[in-house]
Amino acid sequence: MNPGILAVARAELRAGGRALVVLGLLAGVVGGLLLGATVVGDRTASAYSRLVQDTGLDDARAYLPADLPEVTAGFAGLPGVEESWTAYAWIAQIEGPTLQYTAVVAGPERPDDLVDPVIVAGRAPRVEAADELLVGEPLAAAAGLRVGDRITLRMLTLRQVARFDVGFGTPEGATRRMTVVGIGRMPSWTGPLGDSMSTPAFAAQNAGAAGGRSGFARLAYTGDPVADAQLRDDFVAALAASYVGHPRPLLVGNYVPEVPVFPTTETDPAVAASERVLRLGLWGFALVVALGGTAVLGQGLMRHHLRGGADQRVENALGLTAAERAGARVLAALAGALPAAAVAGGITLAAGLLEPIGSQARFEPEGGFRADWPVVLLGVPAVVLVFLAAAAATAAWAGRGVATLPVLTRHRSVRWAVRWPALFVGLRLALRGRALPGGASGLPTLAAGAGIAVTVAGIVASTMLGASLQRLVDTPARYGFTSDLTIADARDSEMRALAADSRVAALAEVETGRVTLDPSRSRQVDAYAHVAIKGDVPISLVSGTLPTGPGQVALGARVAAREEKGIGDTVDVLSSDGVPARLVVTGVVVPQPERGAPLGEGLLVTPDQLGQLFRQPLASAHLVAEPGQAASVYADIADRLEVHLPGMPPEIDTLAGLLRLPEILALVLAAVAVAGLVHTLVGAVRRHTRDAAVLAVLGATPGQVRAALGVLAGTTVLPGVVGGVLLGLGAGRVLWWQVASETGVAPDVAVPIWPIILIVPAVLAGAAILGALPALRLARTPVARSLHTA
Amino acid sequence: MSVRDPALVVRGLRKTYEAGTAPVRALRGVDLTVRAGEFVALMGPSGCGKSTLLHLLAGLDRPDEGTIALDGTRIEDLAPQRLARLRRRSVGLVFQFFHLIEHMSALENVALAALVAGARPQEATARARDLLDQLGLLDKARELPAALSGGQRQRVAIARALANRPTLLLADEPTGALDSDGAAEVLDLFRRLHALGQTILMVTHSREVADGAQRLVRMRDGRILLDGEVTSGSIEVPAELRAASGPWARP
Ligand SMILES: Nc1ncnc2c1ncn2[C@@H]1O[C@H](COP(=O)(O)OP(=O)(O)OP(=O)(O)O)[C@@H](O)[C@H]1O
Ligand SMILES: [Mg+2]
Repeated sequence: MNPGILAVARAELRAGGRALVVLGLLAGVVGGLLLGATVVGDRTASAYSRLVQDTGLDDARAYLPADLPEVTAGFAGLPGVEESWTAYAWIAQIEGPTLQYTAVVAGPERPDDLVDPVIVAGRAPRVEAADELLVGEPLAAAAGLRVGDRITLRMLTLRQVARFDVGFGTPEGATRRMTVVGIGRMPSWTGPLGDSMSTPAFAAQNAGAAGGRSGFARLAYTGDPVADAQLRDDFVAALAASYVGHPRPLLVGNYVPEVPVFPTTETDPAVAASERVLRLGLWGFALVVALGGTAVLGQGLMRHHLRGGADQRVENALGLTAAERAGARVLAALAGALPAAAVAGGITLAAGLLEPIGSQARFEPEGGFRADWPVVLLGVPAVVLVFLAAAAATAAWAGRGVATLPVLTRHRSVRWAVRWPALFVGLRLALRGRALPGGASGLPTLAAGAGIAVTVAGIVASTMLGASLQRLVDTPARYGFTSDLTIADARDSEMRALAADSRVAALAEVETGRVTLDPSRSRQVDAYAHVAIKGDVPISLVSGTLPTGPGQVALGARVAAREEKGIGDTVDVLSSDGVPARLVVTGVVVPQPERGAPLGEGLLVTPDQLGQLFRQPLASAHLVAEPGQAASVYADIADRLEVHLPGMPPEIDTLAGLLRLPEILALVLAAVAVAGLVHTLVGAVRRHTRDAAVLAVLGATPGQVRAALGVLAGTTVLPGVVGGVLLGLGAGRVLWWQVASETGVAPDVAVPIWPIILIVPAVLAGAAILGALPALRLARTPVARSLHTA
Repeated sequence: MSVRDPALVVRGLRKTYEAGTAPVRALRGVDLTVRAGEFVALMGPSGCGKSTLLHLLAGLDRPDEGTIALDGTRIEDLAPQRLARLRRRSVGLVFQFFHLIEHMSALENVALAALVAGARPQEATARARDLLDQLGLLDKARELPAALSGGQRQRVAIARALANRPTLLLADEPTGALDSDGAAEVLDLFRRLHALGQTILMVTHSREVADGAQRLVRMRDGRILLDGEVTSGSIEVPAELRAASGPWARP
């Protein structure tokens, strides 16, 4: 190595060591924020999958008929099953003031790594205790259960379970006193898993009274999607085949789907939608921090190295090559590498204290501090390398052309139409203040402009996202919830009584059956038909029209997206009674989901059409009360009917948990934008103090000088701001479209005109106010000092 | 204003800088009169206050004591706004390091001065073109300063200083950054301007350059030391100066 390099590096350190340490600290902060965002993002995005891992979530899960022991016995031998657990299931009423049911699952011989809820409070039930109950979080929340509570379960008989939907009076099975010993967390507590778990001892005590069986399996997945899909198909086919030759079981029918579910492959759509929102938020944050940080750091390094431009000229004359000159500066920059590493590492580790963001926290299997070592060990060296690379690049940039004359473009004169000299000068300085030899280079200005554009775009997009989320959460009709009460079991006598009730504004019977859509793919969805009994219970229409006759269908938004069907297309369905039909799509709807189906699932047909498809559809009812009357109607019928206040579906609940996120993001971005703008504005003014002094010499009044600098500053940041707004409008639309289609609701975006119109000037004004003082101070620099004429 | 009236009258000018530990007394009572049409060279050792004086004359800074009359107008107490306007009409400044605006062509740099003074755009351009033509730079009108030689840059700067036909052209070491050819170029230009009646006050460290002027003023330690006509290579010290103990140059 040329010994001159070391000498130059030492000189650089002496002259600019402190600046390099400060820049290193800055790099550490920026890198740390990025790595920290990665850590939080990782933890957030992986919360669900880690919970899946830690709870040993089953690959396949099926209801098995209690009255067909052969099917249960054959479950472990189905193709692809590596490990399995066949449990007993009981449906029981929890004694209390309101009608609350629980599905308890228990059984012997559960493998350790299959269906093992994470305990978030209390402890797991002891194997030998028949009176201990682990309650799932959703049930604990719905029924207000806590660890230590003693509850009484009144179990349904098998016969009652089979009639669960059409009514059965009071439970006729055994009564059991239980103690809630723990609250358990699972990725999902639905379907064959029920919503609470008990022990092998409980199973032994109550096996004879079980209302059903549940099978859970670990499948021999290979990781190859095609092979795995085949495995699932084989599993489905074999399970279906194991029913053949037996009389139709009591439990299996319309109420219980024959088709197994595959929990590990079918991520809950609520999870997917909110994960997308979160990931977008974090991505936006990281992108802005990265761009803003790069701009600031790049400018800092650039300025640092431009200051030494004259040195490089001398070094060049002494025979150091461009690479050697840059290398010497990289050696000097090592002084900043240590602080960069320390700060970045510290922030990254500290980020391990943060829980997953927003609603995803409810999937976190391990609370408290979680060190993300891979991110620390890979990320911190990366931060150091990027810092050194940036030092090399800026040194090379600052040292370019010290030997050769700069290439000069011939200059096109502007039209002198601009009358106001301050405006003209400001514009000219802003537009041409780049790529000049020895002067400020265009690169940092461009980076700063891009940083501002991205930040402003982020503000606009998150404002739009926030407004669209708010509107969705505030407007139940947008997610299909158009009624005040739903009644699980629409008996004629009750319907007549309700229709006559003056507190009831509208009442509709909703008939439901399951159809297989596109029969070759065995995808099941609910088919609905609304029969108006009184008034009009509206249906949320996303586009097109509602079906008006047989042969027509309106698809749920999610179904339409998944099947890639639009208005005018045809879909083939096969009902669970074996009746095929070809239907023409007339519109897209968000049906009010029945039985916890995901939003936007299902399809809507006319009652006639439904009658053709099913011999005996299930019937529930949707009720719209007169204003303010819903609670009193509920109170009257809750003791004899299974009636639900629709509340909020989990997808929307999850999104509601994220409502603050876009706001926080917009605020953080606004702060970043203000900081970036101040930096850019002050930097623009600082680069032109000499020009300002020249203007003063030429007789420009102080006001004119300030105006010129103002125009200069404005012109420097305005393209970024305007571009950012446009970019943000587009990005917000795309983002919301993604979230909406993931959620299964209408994808039209809410554009909050006033906030967007106001926020940009507000950010600019904030920057102007904060930047005014340093800028004015710079503008007041004595002419003599600016011109070095003393 | 008749030709005989003084373009500049300075009386008892004092300026002290309060920088760092000890105050620097840059000017300690300067008296100077420059008649219209004179070409005065100002010489003196480094740090004697030449630039400070020029800045005060241009109204870029304020004296602590004393009076300055430009064209008969007292400027030491004027508000910044008025000072700026007066500067447009009455003063043109030329610096050692040109101080052209790098992002503007030669033509735009010159026209800028006229624009700032309130000329209409077409008029400003026409005047700038005219000046560049007179200074032999019309073919360089559209070049950026970086593409010009030092002498050419300084000529553009002089054209800019002349854009508003100032009463007084102040030049602070205009040849200091130029080689001998460039210096000769600039000096020649000043002599031509002088011949046309332009009043010029030029700071220089070069005896040769000073010899091009009509009158030579020497400063030391913030005071005027000597003042006299330039006669090919030496100063003819007037009798009054030899006799007087105080400053000379009273009209
Ligand atoms: N802004 C300032 N702050 C403090 N001191 C100053 C300032 N400007 C000039 N001085 C001091 O005032 C004195 C006169 O400076 P001035 O620039 O007028 O000298 P000069 O005659 O132009 O010198 P040179 O020939 O080197 O240009 C010097 O001692 C200088 O250090
Ligand atoms: Mg000087």
